[in-house]
Amino acid sequence: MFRRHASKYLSAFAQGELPSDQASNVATHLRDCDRCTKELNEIEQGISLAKHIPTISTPPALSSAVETLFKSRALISAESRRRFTSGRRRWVVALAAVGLIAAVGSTVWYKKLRNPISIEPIARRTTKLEAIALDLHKQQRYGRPQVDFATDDPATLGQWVRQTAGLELELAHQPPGDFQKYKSQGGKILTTPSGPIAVVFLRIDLVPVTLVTARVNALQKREAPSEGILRKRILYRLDSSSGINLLSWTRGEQTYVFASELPHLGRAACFACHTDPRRRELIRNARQD
Amino acid sequence: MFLEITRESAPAATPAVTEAHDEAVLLVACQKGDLQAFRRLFDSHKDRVYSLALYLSCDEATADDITQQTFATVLLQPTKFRGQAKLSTWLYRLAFNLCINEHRHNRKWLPLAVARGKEAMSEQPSQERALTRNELAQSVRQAIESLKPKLRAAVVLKYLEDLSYQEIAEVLGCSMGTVASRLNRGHKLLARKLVHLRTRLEGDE
Repeated sequence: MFRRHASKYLSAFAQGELPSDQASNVATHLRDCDRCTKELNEIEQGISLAKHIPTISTPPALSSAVETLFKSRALISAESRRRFTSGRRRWVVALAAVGLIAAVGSTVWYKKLRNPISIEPIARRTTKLEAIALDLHKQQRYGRPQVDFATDDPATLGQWVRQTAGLELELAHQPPGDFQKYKSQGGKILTTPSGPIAVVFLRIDLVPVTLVTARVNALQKREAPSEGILRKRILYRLDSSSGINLLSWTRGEQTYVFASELPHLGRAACFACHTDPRRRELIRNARQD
Repeated sequence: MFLEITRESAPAATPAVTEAHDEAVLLVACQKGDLQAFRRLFDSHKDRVYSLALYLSCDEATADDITQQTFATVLLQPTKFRGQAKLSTWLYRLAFNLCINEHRHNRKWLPLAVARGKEAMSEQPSQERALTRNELAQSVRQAIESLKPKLRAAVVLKYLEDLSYQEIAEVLGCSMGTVASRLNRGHKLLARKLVHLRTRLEGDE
């Protein structure tokens, strides 16, 4: 039994769409409610009228158009399949692009954030730059080398090299903990037909270290080591006759060679430029193949 | 008081099942390129689909397009029909959705009477005027066309397509309670708009 009016049930009631229990509730309510009875009458009249809704015939032209459509179905199906295939191809291309972006992104992340280093021994012939580094390092080891510019401050020496030869050398002011650890002797510029070669003489804990650098395009192609893809690549060679360690690497447009007799392949020489503690840690822990 | 309408389950293995089976067979034949099967399917549904499209769109050219698109979907994407509803219900749903898309695209679903400059319902024929059955149908048509689209859709599906509340709810994508409510309003509006025909209707009955 409804306490309130049954208005919203009336159409469903009149058309037999209510479940039996609800229908009997509505019927009971209608016996006592004039308002709902009147409303039901109105709805029933609406229903009687609505039943006269005419069906509208399809125009003959439309029938023939649809038949033509059916006859050309083969063509349309082929087009549909082509669209499906090209749609699928688009998906493949999109997925490949996403994969490529992810791969490049991961590589960049790995290189920029992790920036790992590997030190690889090499067995090839001594390069021109290595030969110069060995030769001049021996001079430094056995006496005071001839220099074009003398200073004991590594940063000033780096600035001189930049100004004189246009080569990048980021010899740094050393952090307080390294006070008196890194000293420079001086530097010289060797002029060759293919470009200048800068030589820098350093002392690390009084042990002589020689750094040579030149532009990659001033060297023969095979003489400049690649930078490495996932890891920074540093090549290591021990000159057995003199016991001098040689480290070679490329950074940007320049190739560098360190010659020293420092322990651990002379990797501490790298700290002449690298003062960031995290980078130093990476160099200390560099994988040695 | 909540409006809760449930349909009591139909007895099993009925003509409806056979009809659904026949429709599925017909559809498979159409997919295989059987022109006769397609003609049968088209002939048995074309007028209802066209009428639905015309009542909803109020535009003959749009109704033409919608009817063509509905049957094109049957031809090109028959797998969309999963057999969960009757084929006719699926067709109406397709046509209805196409109408909705057309409406969203063009925003021109005015009640037809309004679109025609209110010519249809502004003329109140005198009660004494004798109406033929055809004239009665035309008056009903005009009254239905003057309803708001949501009410019109429910009324057309109920009386033109003879769908149950459940089927109308499936086509319109709403609840049975909403269908009941829209039909309630539709019936009352029709009764009021066509009050001058009541005598005639009672005379007929």
